[in-house]
Amino acid sequence: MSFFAERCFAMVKGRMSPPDFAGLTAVDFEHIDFSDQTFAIAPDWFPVDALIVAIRRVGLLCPPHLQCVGPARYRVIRGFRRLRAASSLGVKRFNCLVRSGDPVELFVEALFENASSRPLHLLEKANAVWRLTQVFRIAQPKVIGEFLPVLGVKPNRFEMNRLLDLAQLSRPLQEAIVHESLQAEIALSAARWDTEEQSAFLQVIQALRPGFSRQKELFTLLDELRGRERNSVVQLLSAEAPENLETLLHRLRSCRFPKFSEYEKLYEQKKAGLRLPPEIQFHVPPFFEGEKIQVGFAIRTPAELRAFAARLQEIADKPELAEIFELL
Amino acid sequence: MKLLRPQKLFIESSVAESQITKNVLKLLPEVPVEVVDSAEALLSSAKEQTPTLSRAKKYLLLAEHKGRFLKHCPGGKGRLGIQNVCCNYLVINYAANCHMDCSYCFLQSYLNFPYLTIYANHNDLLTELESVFSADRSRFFRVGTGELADSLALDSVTRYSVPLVEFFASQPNAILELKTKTDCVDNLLGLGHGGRTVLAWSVNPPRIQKTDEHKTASLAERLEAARRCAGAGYQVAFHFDPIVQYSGWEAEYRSVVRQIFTLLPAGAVAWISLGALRMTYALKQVIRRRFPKSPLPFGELLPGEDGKLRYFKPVRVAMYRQMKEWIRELDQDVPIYLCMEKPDVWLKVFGRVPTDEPALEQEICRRVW
Repeated sequence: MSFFAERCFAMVKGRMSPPDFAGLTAVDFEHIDFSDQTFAIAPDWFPVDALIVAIRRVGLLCPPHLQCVGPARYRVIRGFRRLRAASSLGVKRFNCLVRSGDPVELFVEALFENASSRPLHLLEKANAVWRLTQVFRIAQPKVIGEFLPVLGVKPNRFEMNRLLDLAQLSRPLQEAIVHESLQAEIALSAARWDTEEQSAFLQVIQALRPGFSRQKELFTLLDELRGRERNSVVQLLSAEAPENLETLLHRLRSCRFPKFSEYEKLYEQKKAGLRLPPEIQFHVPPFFEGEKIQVGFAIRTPAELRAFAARLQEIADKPELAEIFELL
Repeated sequence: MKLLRPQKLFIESSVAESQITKNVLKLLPEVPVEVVDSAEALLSSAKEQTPTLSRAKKYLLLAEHKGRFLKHCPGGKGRLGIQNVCCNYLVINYAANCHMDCSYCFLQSYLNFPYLTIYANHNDLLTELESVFSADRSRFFRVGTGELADSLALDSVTRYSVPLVEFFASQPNAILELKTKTDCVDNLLGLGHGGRTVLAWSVNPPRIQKTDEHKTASLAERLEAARRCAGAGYQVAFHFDPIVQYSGWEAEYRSVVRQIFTLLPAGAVAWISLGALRMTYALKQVIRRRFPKSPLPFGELLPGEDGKLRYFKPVRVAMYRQMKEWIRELDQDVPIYLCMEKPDVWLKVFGRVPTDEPALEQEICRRVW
C-alpha cells in the first residue's frame, strides 16, 4: 500500500487524526527560524518575484503552516516562498496554521500538496527526493516506487540518482539551471570540475548565451581537453581575450582535433586554388570519411550548362583537385 | 586474470539437467543457487531495478536459448546502412556478457541483461549447427563465439568449449574460432580438434591491457597460452582490436608483433585482423563514467558515416599501414584483414578491395583450409 493510501486508510479506520486545521494563529515574522530548512522543497534562494507581485495585490490568501519548536519559536512546514515574498514586502505579522505531528508525515503532506497544486521545478523535485532519503531516511525503493510518480518522474533508480546529484550541485550551477542559462545535464557533468573551472565556464555561458547544442559542444570540448591535456578549464578559457562563440569553438576544436583541423586548412587552401565560381558548390564528405566529392550547381538554360561544363573541365585538370582527392 | 566467482547462480528449470549446468554446479559448489521457472520472468523483474553494469557481472544465469544460436556477424553491415567490407563471419551467441571489464567493450551500451548469461542448451546448438552445415556442404562456414561474450572467459566453469571443439572436428566444411582475452586453455589442450578450431587472442600492448582491459590475462599470459595451444596442434590467430593511438604506440605495437612471431612456430598463425578503436557516442559516455582514468575517449575520434566515432581516417590508414608493414617484416604470407572498415580504407591500406565475401573468407582461411 502506498504511503498516501496508508495514510488515508488509517484516517478512515480512525487510527490517525485528520490534519489539525483548527483556527488561525497570528505569528510575528521575528519568531520564525528561517534557517530551519527541514521541510523546504525549494532552495531558499529560489526567485519569488511573481509571488511578491501577487501578495502585494491580494495579500497572503493561503495561510502558511508552521510548527512550534520552542517558546515563541516556529519553523516553517509549508509556505517558505510565500513568507519570503511577504517578508520582502515588509509584512511583520501574519495568520498561519500551527501544526503538530510526525515530521515525516508533515513533510510528505507538504510535498503532496505542492506537487498537486503547481508544477514543481526540477530542482524542487531534486531537493524533495534528497530530503526524503537523507533527512527523513525513507528507504530508496520506497521513494522510487511511491514518491517519484507523484513528482512526475519515472520510477527507477537512474532517475532518483540523477535527482540526488542535482540536489547536491553547487549553488552557482543550480542558479544557472534555474535561470535557464545552463542545461541540467551539462550542470551535472560540470560538477566534476573544480569550483574555479565551473565559475569560468558559467561566465562564458552567461556572456555568450549559446543554445543547447552549442553549449553541449563547448562543454564537451572543454571537458575532453581538460581530460586529455590535463589543462584546467580556467586555462583553456583564458587563453585569449573574450571571443565570440564561434571563434572560441573553432579554437577549442583545433586543439581537440589537431589532425582534422590541419586537413581542413589544407582542404580550404586547395579548394581556393580551384578558383571555383560562386555558383558551383563543392563538398567533401563530413570529416573526410568517404571517397566522393559532391559538386553542385543550378542552371536555367542549356547554354548555362555548357558554360558550367567548360568550367568544370578546367577544374578537373587542375592539380589541386587531385590533391583534394589525396586528402580523402 | 581474474577467474569467474559469481555471487549467485540462477538456473532456468528447463536446463537444470544440461551437461553445462552440471559442470557449473560441480565447479562452483560454494555459490548459492536458485532455480527459476522462466529466465524471461527473472530478467523482466530484474530490469525494473535498473541494475548497474558492475552488478550484472556478479550474477550468473544459466538459461535456455529459445531462438537461433547462429547469426551473421553484424560487422559487415554497419550502422545506418553503411556497408563495411564483410568477411562472411558467423557468430554463435552461446552466452551474453563477460565477467572481465574492458573499458571499450561495446556490450556496455548494448546489453541490458542484469545477468551474465550462458545458454546451457548446447545440444540444441549442436543440432542447429549440424543442420546448417549439412544443408550446403559446398559452402564454407567460419564461425566464432566471441561476439557477445569472450569465448573462453567462462570455460573454466562451463567447459562449453569441449563439445564445441569436438563437434567441429567432425565437420568437413566449417571452422570454429574461439576468441579470448584469457589464458583459460586447459580444457582444450587434450581435445581431438581435427584442425577445425582456431584459437584467437585479442592483443594490445601491456600499457593498454593494464589501463583498459581489466581482469583480463596479461599479454605475456595470452601469448604463453597461444604457444601452448600451438604446441597442441591448434592454429592460432590474433586480433589487434582495438588498436589505440597514443604517444609511443608505434614501438609498443611493433613489440607485440615481434613477440607473437618470436614465440610461435612459423606458420602457426592462421590470420591477423586489425581494427582501430571505435565507439558509439553512448559508449563514450559509459567509458567516461565507468572508467574515468581511461585515456581512450580522448583520442582524435570523429563520427563516421555510420555515426560511430573512429580515429580520423588518415590517422587510422597510417596505423593500419604501419601494422601491416611490421607484420610483413616477420611473415610475408599470413592473412591480414581489417575489421569493420569500408572499401576506401581497404584500398588505401592494401591497394585493393576484396572482390566479394566468399573470396575474402577463403583468403583469410587459406592457412587453415
